[in-house]
Amino acid sequence: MTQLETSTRSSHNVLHGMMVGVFLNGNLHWLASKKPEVSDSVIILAFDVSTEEFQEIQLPLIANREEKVSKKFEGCLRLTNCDDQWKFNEYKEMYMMKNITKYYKAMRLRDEGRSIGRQLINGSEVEKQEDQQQLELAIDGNLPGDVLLEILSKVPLQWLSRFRWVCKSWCYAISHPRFIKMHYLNTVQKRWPSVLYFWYISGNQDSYLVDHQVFENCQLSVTARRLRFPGFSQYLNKKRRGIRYVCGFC
Amino acid sequence: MKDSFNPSIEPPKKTVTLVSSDGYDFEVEEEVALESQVIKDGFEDKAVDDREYLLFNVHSDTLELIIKYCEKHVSSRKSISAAAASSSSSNGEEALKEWDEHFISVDTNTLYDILMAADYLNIKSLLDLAIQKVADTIHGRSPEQIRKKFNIENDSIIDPWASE
Repeated sequence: MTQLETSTRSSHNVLHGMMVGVFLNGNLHWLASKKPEVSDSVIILAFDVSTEEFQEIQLPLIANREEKVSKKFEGCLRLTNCDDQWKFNEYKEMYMMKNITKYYKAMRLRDEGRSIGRQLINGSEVEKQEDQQQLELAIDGNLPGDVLLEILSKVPLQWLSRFRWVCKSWCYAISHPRFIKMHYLNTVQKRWPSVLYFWYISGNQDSYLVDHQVFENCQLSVTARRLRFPGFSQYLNKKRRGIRYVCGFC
Repeated sequence: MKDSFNPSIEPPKKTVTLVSSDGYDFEVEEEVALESQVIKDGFEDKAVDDREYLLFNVHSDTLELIIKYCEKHVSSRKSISAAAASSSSSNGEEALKEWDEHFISVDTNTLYDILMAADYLNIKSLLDLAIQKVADTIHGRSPEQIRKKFNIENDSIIDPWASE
């Protein structure tokens, strides 16, 4: 890694203090500018791990360099603070994949592998990493997705249940089995040793209590017994009858 | 046992330079900087005279706070382990918790800056502290207040709290 960085720096300036390159498709990527530094000459520097060769990739003509950083994102490199996502076309040029509005992610030096959510879960890592990315995508707003998820996972159930109404993506995230597991683990660690989980069926004014043992395997299908929560179920959306919402732990 | 903490036999303090986004240099002790996991990773690979980190996402005001936090935690850890070594009673951990509580009692913007910086630098304990604080501040808020706070557009089909 040291050699790699040295050779990188000999002909290029790596921008934004990116100590760790973004790894994708067998290549490590940095944002860099050629030496001597000329304005607007920012490129993506790709290092092929198998052939140990550097390649330069021209950036599409977009925002100024202060605002972007290459970032692995759903199998594409992503430039932060541009609303666009770019994908490689045989490493010759980049083309725009799709426009994602309102998804800003803070520039970070660490890679996806260290995101907080994954530290809580062991096993089938790769699958869960993709899962985590999808879950992060579900979160809107200015905070990085994993940070926001972590915040939400520390909110007690009584408040969390009403946060489902903030927006669709929050509703989706809060109902996501991975989030449930995060919330569950936080709750077990910090608050009550023996917890119960409940969810309810929309349109049906009943809630179900589920023993927490069930959720250690993240299975959502077993109900223990019915409970009524006065003042809570009146907020159910009757048009979406039969859809289950998982609310969190109490 | 007592030798585990003895300042006189410590090697001379090494320092690391942190540069904030607005161009201010902060010289901190190595162990303080190493509180950041991002700096810790690959730290050994860097040449000793090249230990300068450009923190493009951290403003000097925030960096000052972060350094204050790290210094406090490093020194507290030392005094706690020193107290444990000499088996004298100490309420160091509780005092540190109180200090943390006081430290994180800041306005929303500062809290947001600290949160982003802790995430960026990957300082786990500070990140946890800030996340818990944000989680505490959103207790009991209505969805509308949350939307405002997190700058989220309302796209819910139904909002039972809208009339409040």
